Amino acid sequence: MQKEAKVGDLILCKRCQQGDIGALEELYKRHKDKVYALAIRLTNNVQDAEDIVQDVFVQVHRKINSFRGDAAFSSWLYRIATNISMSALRQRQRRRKAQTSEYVQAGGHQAQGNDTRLLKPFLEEAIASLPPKSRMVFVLHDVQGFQHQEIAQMLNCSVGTSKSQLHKARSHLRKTLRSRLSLISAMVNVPVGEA
Amino acid sequence: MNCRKIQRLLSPYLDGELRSHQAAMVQTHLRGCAQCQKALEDLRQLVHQARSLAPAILTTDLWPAIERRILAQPPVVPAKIPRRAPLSAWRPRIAWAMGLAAVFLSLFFLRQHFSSPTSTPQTAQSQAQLLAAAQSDIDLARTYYQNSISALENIVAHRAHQMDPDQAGLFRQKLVHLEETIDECSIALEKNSYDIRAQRALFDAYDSKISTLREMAVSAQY
Repeated sequence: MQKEAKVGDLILCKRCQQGDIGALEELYKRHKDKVYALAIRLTNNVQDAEDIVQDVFVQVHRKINSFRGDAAFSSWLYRIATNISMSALRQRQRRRKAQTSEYVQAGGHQAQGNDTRLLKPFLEEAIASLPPKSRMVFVLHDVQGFQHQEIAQMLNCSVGTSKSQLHKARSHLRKTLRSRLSLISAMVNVPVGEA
Repeated sequence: MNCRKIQRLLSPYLDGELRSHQAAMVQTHLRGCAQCQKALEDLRQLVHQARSLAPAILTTDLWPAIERRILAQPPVVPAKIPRRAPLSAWRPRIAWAMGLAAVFLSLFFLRQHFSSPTSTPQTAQSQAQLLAAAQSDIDLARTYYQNSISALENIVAHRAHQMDPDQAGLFRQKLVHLEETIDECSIALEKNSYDIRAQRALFDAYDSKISTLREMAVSAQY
């Protein structure tokens, strides 16, 4: 199924390279939610995340001729998305440093389960307080489920840097959320000592 | 190992990225340290919570805005498929070199004709001048022939992998013979630059070499 999706993406890319804007619309429909998920976790702001999604697909159209199909389209797309998100994050950080995010205030997207509801809004807020690079690595690894190798390629850094940024992000989040994490641990009773 | 060092290893331990001896060390420490057990549990809970954050769904249709922005841009040039330079791209350069070689050869043979013993008698000095001029013409002609040959050799080298090996072998054999002829003629001309037969044989060999290389380039193209 995943292989079929990759082949489908490649065919759409070829059509896109020949100037077919309908093919780009199809690529947008296929990948918009993944790009938005990344953008919203990074920016914590609906408007900013939507702007990033727009910028990403405009950029895809502009650079589609440089996509050779050596890697999956989704990897190439994520690379563009991380670059644009990172630059948006830096710009925003300069613009408004201490503004509370509307996404967190609005309660974000509702998740299932009592334990998640206890921590979720605080976790979103704590992620938003991370420095841009460790936030990016944390979101890509722990939220989106990418491997360090993939993250290193997307962010153009070494695997070691990705690992150390993740460690930094987790330590920071643990300190911020310590009391709430303890409460959840006591409730869910996960066995200790198993990796 | 103290708690501070162990806690630095907890994140990679949780992801299963530690080497076996490091993982064993962490496990041994965890058995006797409630504080580090607590830190590991916090991290585990944090990762679990992060992974279970609800997927973000884009509810707004952004495509119309994206399309407007794309259409407002200058059109994207369709992808160019990289192509080998066709033989025709090299033709002007080869034709120029061949043409110049022919001009210098004509000049050379004209001088030879007028300086031969059957024509008007010449003084020793004017004969020496004619000889020098003829030598200069022949050298220039050789240079232009060699330029043509180099251009064709480049094309053939780029396309060598596309050539039928048997056919390529035959072409190479022919080239070896022609190069031997060119060497022999050059040696003969070093000894006697008036050797008309050697001169003609040399330029015939150059012509044949150019034809052979051109055939090779064309056969590799199809």
